[in-house]
Amino acid sequence: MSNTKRMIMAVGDSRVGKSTVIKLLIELLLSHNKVIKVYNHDNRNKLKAYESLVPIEKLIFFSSNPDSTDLVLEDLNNKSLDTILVDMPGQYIEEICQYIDNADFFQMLALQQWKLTFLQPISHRPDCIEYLKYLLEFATDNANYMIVKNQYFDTRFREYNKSMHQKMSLIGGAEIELPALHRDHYQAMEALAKPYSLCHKDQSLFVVYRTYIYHWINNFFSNIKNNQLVSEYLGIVSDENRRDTARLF
Amino acid sequence: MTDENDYEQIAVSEQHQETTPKDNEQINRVVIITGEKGGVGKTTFARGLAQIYLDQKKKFVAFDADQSNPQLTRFYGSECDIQSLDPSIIEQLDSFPDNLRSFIFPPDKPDRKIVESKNLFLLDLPSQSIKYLQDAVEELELLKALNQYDVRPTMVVVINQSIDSVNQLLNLCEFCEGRVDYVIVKNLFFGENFLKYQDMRETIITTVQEQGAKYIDITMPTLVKHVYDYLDINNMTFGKAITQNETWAVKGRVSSWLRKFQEQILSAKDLLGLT
Repeated sequence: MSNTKRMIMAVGDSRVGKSTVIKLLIELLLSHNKVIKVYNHDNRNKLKAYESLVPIEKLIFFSSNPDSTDLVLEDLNNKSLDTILVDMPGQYIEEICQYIDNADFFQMLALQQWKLTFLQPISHRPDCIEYLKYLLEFATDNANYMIVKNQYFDTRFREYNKSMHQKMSLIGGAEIELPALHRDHYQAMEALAKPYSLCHKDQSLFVVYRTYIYHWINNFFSNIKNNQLVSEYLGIVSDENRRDTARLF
Repeated sequence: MTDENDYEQIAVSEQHQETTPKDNEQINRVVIITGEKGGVGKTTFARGLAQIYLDQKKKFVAFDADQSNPQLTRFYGSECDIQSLDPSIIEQLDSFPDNLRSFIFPPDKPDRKIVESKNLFLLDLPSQSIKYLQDAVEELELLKALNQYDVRPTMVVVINQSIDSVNQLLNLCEFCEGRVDYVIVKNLFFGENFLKYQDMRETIITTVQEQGAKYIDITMPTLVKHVYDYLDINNMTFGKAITQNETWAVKGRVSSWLRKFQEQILSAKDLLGLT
């Protein structure tokens, strides 16, 4: 299996599914016996249901005192960790890049032999593409990129496919689909305030809901499993033979 | 006969070079860091500059003129040659040019070992000490004495957004005129807008340039408080902060800070003795 330490930074606009993907990934990574830690920038504490599964620390990105964000850096020294998941604040891409610059984040990761994956869920909205372009221009080959096409919003992603798909495949970016889950099913699942994988066993839900939830999770996981690049960028398979993308920027 | 002529020509051209050191690489430089208010960032700048001198393996001597809080000595005392200087004692400023001269032309040691010559000096003046400097310039002809020893001073003025900062700069330009070069450091800790300074900037530049001085303004990046405090508690140099592996937030923050600081310093490298 992979020995590479991975930091997965979920970025992108609000309400495109960052927290949802983080939750799913927590379960997937745990099923691969990864030792993980989660940093969450979210005032509504959306990850509360996962506190019993993994250590979750609050990230206060926009406080006057940026110390708490620096805790992520200290954890690079934590030898026992395999994966750090960071749910970054939505929208504020400029501030995120500024932080990364001010803390020499890329260099610190490299020195500690951590690899970085920017994970960006996207909807049909063109903002997502602008956001991704900004990120690519800033981070270039300092990170791997993984786009999650959230099919709840769109299934065609015409804009993205037209303007970004080719570039992404050129720079070694990965794409994956998060299947759509009906809003009613999603809301019922969220209302249980349990880890997603326990929801389909919960007798209080309609059987039909539970079936959809079960398949939704499994389909996403098998999408990942069937995608070598995505599996590497999530640190669940080795990426030792991966070609260098540096010269492509 | 021809040989002799050639020799003479060479000798003449060498002599010529010696007498016009102004644009010569071998110029002796004293960088004097001033700033009227305490807490404006003078010593942070001095520490950063000392670090860059060390990184670039410059042979330099620093003078810490802060008697009550000799920060430069506390942080860099074990890394480089730092002498104490009390600007309130008039004799000490009076003998400063001769002091520098003894570093530029060091006397041989009794065992006849040649002592390495130094031609770069850093003087960190504490706040409220500009009046001593002004006295030394006006009464003791400090700048004339430095000029005689071919030591070109650079006044580094660290400023915040206050009108005091600008007034102090104007005052300094008035009594130093074109006899020194100027590096103005806008400390970004106080924000990005230096409106009061910006209002006066063109006037000051025109004046000092007409007087034959060089003038550059640069910025000093900000360092987050917890990192600053960590260095302070541990008397840690910027260089040590980058090589230690105890805390990676400090390592990363300082590494980024020093990179940005160095970019700024290098844009004024002639005036800061880094040619």
